[in-house]
Amino acid sequence: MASLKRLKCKCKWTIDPLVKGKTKEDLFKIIDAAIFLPYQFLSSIEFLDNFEKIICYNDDFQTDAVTVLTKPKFLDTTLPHGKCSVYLIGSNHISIKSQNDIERTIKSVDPNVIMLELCIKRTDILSDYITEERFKQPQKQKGTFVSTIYSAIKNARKTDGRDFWAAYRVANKNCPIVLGDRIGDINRQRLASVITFTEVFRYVTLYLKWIYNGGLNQEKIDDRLLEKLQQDCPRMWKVWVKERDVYMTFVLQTLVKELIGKEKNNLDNRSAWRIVAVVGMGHVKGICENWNSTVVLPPDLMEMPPSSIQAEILKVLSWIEIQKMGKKETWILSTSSVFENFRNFSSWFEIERTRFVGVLFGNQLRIDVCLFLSDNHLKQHFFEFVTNSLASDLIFAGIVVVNGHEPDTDISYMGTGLEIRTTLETLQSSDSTFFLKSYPNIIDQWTQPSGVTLVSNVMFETVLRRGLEENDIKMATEKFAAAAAELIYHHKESDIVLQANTKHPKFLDDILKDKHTDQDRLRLTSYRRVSAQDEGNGDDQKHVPILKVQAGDIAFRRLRMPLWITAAAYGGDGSNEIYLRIEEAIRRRIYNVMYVMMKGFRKTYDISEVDCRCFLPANHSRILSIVMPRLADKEQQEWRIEMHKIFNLPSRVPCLRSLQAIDFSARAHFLRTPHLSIKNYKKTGRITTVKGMYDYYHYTQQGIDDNGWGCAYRSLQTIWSWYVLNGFFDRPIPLHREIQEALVRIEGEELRGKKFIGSKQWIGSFEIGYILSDAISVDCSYIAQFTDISEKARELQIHFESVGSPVMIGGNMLAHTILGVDFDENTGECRFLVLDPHYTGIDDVNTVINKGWCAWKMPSFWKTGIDQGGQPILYNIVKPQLPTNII
Amino acid sequence: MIIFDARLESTLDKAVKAHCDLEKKSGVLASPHFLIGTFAEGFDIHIAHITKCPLPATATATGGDAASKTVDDQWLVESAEKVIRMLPGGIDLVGILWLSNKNIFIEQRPRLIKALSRIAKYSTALTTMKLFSYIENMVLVNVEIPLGKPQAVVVDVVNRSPESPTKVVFNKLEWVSIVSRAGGRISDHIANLKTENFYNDFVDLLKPWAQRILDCNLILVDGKVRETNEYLNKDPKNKKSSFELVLLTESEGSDDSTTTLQQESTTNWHDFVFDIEIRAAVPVKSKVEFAVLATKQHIIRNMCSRAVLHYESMEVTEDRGTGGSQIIHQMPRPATTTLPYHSSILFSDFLFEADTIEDGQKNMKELLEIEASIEHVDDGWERALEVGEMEQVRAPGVVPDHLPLIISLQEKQSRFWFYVMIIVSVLVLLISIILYQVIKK
Repeated sequence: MASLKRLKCKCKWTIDPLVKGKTKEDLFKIIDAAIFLPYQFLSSIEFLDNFEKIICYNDDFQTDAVTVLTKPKFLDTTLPHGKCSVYLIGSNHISIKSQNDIERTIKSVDPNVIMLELCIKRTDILSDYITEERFKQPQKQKGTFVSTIYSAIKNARKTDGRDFWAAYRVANKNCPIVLGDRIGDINRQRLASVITFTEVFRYVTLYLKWIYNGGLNQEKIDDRLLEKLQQDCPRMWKVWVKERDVYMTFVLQTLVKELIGKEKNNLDNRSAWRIVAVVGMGHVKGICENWNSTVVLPPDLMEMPPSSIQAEILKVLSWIEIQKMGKKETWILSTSSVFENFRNFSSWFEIERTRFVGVLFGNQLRIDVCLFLSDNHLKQHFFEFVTNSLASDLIFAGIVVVNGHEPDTDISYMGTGLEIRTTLETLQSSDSTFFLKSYPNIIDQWTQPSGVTLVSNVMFETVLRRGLEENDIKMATEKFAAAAAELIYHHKESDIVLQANTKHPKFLDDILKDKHTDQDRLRLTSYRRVSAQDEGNGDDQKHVPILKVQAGDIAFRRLRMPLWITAAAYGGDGSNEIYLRIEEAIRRRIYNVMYVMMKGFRKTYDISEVDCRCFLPANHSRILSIVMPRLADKEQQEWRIEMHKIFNLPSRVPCLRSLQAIDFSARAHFLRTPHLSIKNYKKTGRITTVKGMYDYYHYTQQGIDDNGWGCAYRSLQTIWSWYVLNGFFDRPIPLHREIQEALVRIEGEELRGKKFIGSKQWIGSFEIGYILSDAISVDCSYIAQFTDISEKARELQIHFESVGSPVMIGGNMLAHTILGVDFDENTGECRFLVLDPHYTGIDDVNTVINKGWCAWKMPSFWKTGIDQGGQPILYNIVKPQLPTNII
Repeated sequence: MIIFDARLESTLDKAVKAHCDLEKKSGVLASPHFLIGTFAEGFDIHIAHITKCPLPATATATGGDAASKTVDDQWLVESAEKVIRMLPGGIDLVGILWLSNKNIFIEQRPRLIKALSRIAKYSTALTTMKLFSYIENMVLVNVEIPLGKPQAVVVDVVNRSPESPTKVVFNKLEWVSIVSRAGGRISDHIANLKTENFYNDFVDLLKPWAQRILDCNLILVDGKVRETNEYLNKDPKNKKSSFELVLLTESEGSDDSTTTLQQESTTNWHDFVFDIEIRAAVPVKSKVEFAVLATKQHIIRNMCSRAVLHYESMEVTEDRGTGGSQIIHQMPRPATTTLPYHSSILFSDFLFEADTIEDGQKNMKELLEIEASIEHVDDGWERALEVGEMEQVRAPGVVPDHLPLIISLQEKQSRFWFYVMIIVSVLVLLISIILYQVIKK
């Protein structure tokens, strides 16, 4: 085999094949194996000494900035066969040279993964809306010491991050970008906890001297400077450079392991996996040194030390810096969500006559919810109710002013909030380009960061004395809200505890990885401290225990209310951050409880029960927690209609019925809405799917062995569950016998025959339609007697858009449930999301998805041609419609 | 096995000598002592301290028959009750040491076993509110006068099975301190109020809360979740002498529970507010589970001891709150001192408002034979309510609920005004200086 004899420079490899008499093709393979770069990517190859020596060149690597690392040696034993090259690019973050190096390397290598020296909190540079203009090369100035330094820093700040931006811009859109640096907050706080004033002074001196000598304009950092920094500022070096070297090496090694560990058939026709890593120049040496040894992250590496004076000073300084730089913020907003909410809003109101405004709620620079509210709903107390119903990390972030109508309200929002000015026509036409025309700092996309929804149950218990209910409920809620900071949450599986003011906050990235806040939930158990935390007045003498006994007739009511609390946890969040979010969720929930109770009290002069339920309507990406009074049916419906209006929910589809509330309990139920777990599906056109939840019914469930005959029954059960779970009615799902009895009742005994009930006879699309119409008054429309489903894709698309119920397709002795369509109007290409009732296994979502029981299928999934009887195979589809009076 | 702390070897010798002197001088036939220590994990009993049971006046008086020269089981139990109230969580009255000749011991043995059973019963009631039983065996040690060696039997106080002899050894023992706090507000009515027995009512009020504490398995030791079967001191080389423990109660309803608003009525309402410091003690090699139990027991024992003392101090005719009246009960305050050579073990006497620290010092000497100087008795943990505070407590309109009292609004408000006053004073000072400078010019 070949051996890599000498790595002369980064662009030149000399290989000694060791075996004489090889053909050129063999030699190319040897090159591949030796340098881990496909030979097609080499600009020239020289064969010397009668093929005994090969010299390979790649002009794109004619730079010292790129270091090629091969598979770490320690992996030779565990993963002997895989190959992987890491192209480590040392960048100075600001120069055009670095940018060019990165662009050429990425284009040349076409990596499978790119790793950037960024963390989740520093991703604003990765934006499609940032142009080259932003990094306009600064003019070199040489003046006085102060002016030179000032202009150098100013220019450097302006162009900082162009390397990452370049990598993001030129990367293949399918190439994952890994944020490989430790969280910035940890870096800063760890630095602040160890650094001394002497080191700060030495560093500042060194830094200013370096800048004055044009260091920022140099393409490479002088090794002597790094050595000096290491000597003069050892603590800073350790935290800022060494620890991050270890961290980034760990990330890279993990990537290598994961890539090599993948199945071989996942590897494309190239011979090795390729990773491009863009890191600061100062990190290259450290990463190279660590590369061939197994890097294990020390447990304290991710710990955030307690806040110190230095840390606070550092925070203030960075804040001042940001203010001075006038940093332009880039917001993320989903215009399709804005337009859908507007459509729903306008379905409730006479839009031309209503004064309204769009209210934006978000988290940092991401807008998650845009609610259109009429002026009536913009009163302070009502607005608080709306905010308190939203996820606890969402705050009032800005407004959408329509036709210049400024909100007539006393609500103030922060000056840094987002303000979008638009017209009614733009909203009505759903024209996203026009909507964002004047806002280049807004990215139209919906990228939910990885994370989970944390769920906990907290019991609110109090007694309300007769005649003092109003006062008691107010005080009890105030106290409950105050006591929220005393709660402790425990996640049993990972043994993680969340409590207030943790001195060493942990990052929960391991358990948040590859999870999504709208789908994945983590159940926390809530606990209350038996004693209050010391408030720092521990020296105060306590008074002895006091028992007050009141005698006499006392009438009261005991209120017990379990509150389901939800809060989002994102990747990169520390435990303190998450805790504060849960605390805020409790406050929001309890204040809304008080608000609704008091509202009822003022009407009836009596306290009545309320229920706090969580919903995830189709047009909301975040959980809505709605407090609902327990009222008579009609009044309850009025309340739901009011809530539909406020939260921009559709006027024709129920979203807030009690059956639609999210069930957080550990009760076992059928596999719910499994298609949401399908990942990595590449769409061909526009996707429309079923709206809302459904349960997956399939063969052999409920103790019924219906294998071979019950598929249509199961499909009907799935459709029925959709109506139940989406709040249209609450009749129990019928079993096979009940379905047969209903059919006999509808069609008559003569038609079905006496032995039909209890038999294993099939039913078809039309029978399903009859039962739905008869039992729950759901009208159905049909697509009858067709042979090729691809011709019906558009019709189904319209159904999923307007109705959103699952449909059943029957034919060729089979029945399936269709949950969605992916249809390209231009090419006519289509796929169908199929839920297969023929499945007989356990209700495990991974099995169901991976084995294709719930999957996107080509039209050829349904056979065309002639059946066994010589007749063409015909299919029928039943499309259940929406009932009326449904909210 | 009964393990006496090594230092107790000399204490035992002194006790034997003292008894011989007393026998000669007053004809006292037997000297009972209480053994104070820990029912350690496994079947071992660790003894940290020996204290003499006070003798009735008849025993030391001249004359009298043989019966008057010894103590009966009733006397023993009553004396033991007083001692048990002073013990921290994790430390119990684990048995009786009896110094007498062989005949007297054989004669008294059934009485002593009976007394031990009653002591165990009392200890369980005081320490767990009878929510669970934790004492299965106690120990009866006899030293035959004058030169006998300690002979011990384990007494099964639950099943009353025959006593089994056990080995007695002297070893160096160590205890560690478990530091915690318990505070809160329990507001509720008592369904079956027994106005004639304050203590029973108090126990009824506290029982549901105590049960919730006992039911909760999650605790934080030094801010971290620890497995209950781990050793407290993980690193045997780097032993810690104190651990901070946070007790929790589950705050959840069941998954299926829904909102309920239940109409109720009562003739009494109890509002109990407390915030107590906890210093339990457990053997150095204890597991987390044991430390947790000791802490929970400390809370209950502490509350119940105060309640029983308060009840005993109440006038029989005192109005217990009928016909719309309101009674404020102030519990006695603790006065503490540590066991010499074992500073982790902190005993508490409970003093009433009029009692002084000297009373505490006296009680420590009488009941525990601890000769603590006045500087070593600490009664500063808590204080009685001042007149103004009492008026506040008496004021109607306190919201009854089950929530812990976090920090009184009053306190926060007063602190707020305190800071406002400081800022105003500084501003006034600055203005005065400026004005002075202006006028001077």
